[in-house]
Amino acid sequence: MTAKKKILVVDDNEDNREILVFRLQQLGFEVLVASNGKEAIETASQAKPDVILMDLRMPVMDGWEATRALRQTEWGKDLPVVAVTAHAMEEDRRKALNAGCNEFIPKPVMDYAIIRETIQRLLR
Amino acid sequence: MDKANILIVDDEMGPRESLKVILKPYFNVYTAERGGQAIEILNQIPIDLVTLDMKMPGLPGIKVLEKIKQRDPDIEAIIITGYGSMDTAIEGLRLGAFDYIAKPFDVNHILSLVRRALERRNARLKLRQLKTEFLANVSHELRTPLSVVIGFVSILLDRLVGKLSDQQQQILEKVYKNSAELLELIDNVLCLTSLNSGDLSMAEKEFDVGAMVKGSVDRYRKCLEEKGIDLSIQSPAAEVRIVSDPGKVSRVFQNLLHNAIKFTPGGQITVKVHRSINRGVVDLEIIDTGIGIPRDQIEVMFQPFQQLDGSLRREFSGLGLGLTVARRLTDFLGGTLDIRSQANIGTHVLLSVPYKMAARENDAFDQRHQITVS
Repeated sequence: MTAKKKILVVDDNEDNREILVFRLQQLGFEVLVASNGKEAIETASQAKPDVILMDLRMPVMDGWEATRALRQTEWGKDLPVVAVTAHAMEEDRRKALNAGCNEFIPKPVMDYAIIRETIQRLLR
Repeated sequence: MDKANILIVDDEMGPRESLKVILKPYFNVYTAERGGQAIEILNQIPIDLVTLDMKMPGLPGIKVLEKIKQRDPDIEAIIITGYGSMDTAIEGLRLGAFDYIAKPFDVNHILSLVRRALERRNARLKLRQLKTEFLANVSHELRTPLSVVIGFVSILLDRLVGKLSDQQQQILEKVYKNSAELLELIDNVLCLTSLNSGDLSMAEKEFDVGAMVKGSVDRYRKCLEEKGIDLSIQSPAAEVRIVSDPGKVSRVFQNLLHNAIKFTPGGQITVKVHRSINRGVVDLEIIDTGIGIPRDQIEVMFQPFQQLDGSLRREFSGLGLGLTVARRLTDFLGGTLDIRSQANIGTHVLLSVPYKMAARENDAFDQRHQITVS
């Protein structure tokens, strides 16, 4: 049996975190959480998740900065990061991709198949 | 702040050089002797302000000004006139020049003009930046609670926390449907605002138009079922891969589809996807058997906040933004939107969007071409 893949969910909104955790656990992933970019980097450096779902606008350290910082580390430079964000304007998409995010999914997520498919694509 | 970039355009060396000497200590100064050369420099360097001689051989100053303002209305221009030719100066002001000055010019006068023009430019850019940030905030703050609502409702609807009675399911479906509608409204309002403020840019990417159409249709499955609408998609190929802006194409299509469904009380909707390689466009057609629009009302429908029946007792809800956004976004994409309709018979919408060929196909196309050529 292969080990469960680890997904790190980063979001400052507790409700949003809960929704994603619920969905991902149901899909059979092991789920870790962080509530800002700084926590995300700390958790990720220890737990080495397979994919990070990253909110962008967060207190302490935002998702753009966290992704940029991650890309500077040896272990995080190729780690798949999906921006999952209520920042749905175009400028935000560009900024997220520029910061090093692999994919961009706007919130609200209307169909959770998108999350599953995106993660599966990135795990390949 | 960085030094501003100023371009001096004048065919005569005397005034050109003296302006350069005046401005050089305070700004980065570039010079051009002809209108054409000025345009070339503007293509390469982010110029903040242009001083423009009106009387030049080749492209006249007023034409250069017109081109500059078309390209970027935020570039400031100061008109330099030679022989008291007030007419061109006034025309220049009408085109958006900051001010004009007559030769021979006074050093202090020109410096203060340039400074004031740059101040106006900076204030305008700052305002635009604030507006963009404000919009981004509104978008974020409206979407966050909505995404929590939709997230939890869909968890319940997918029965991830237990079974649902029929009645519970029906109620939750209504919550979901209305949340989705609210989201669409928010997106359309924000999209229109970005269009109006000129903050939109193309985000090109390869995607499958067929899948996009199917995805949009799937969002309305439930609604189609309830209204007894039979929707069929006709597409010649399994995949129609193109390079364009998927977000915008999908927003246009979704708005058009939404309208077709909304104004078809029951009956048939046909969606056709067709790619014309020769014309370089993708045609998306939506043909419904709905209530239709009287011929003289079609143009009116493209105005924001217009619906056929604007009264409070009207049958159909909504802000009437869908078609406006569709038309404006289509223009932005360089496409065309054609609507033919007959009251009580139905509406036929044809959306044509130009595209670039997907990379792999382009190779294949080139190869085929080479084979035929050789």
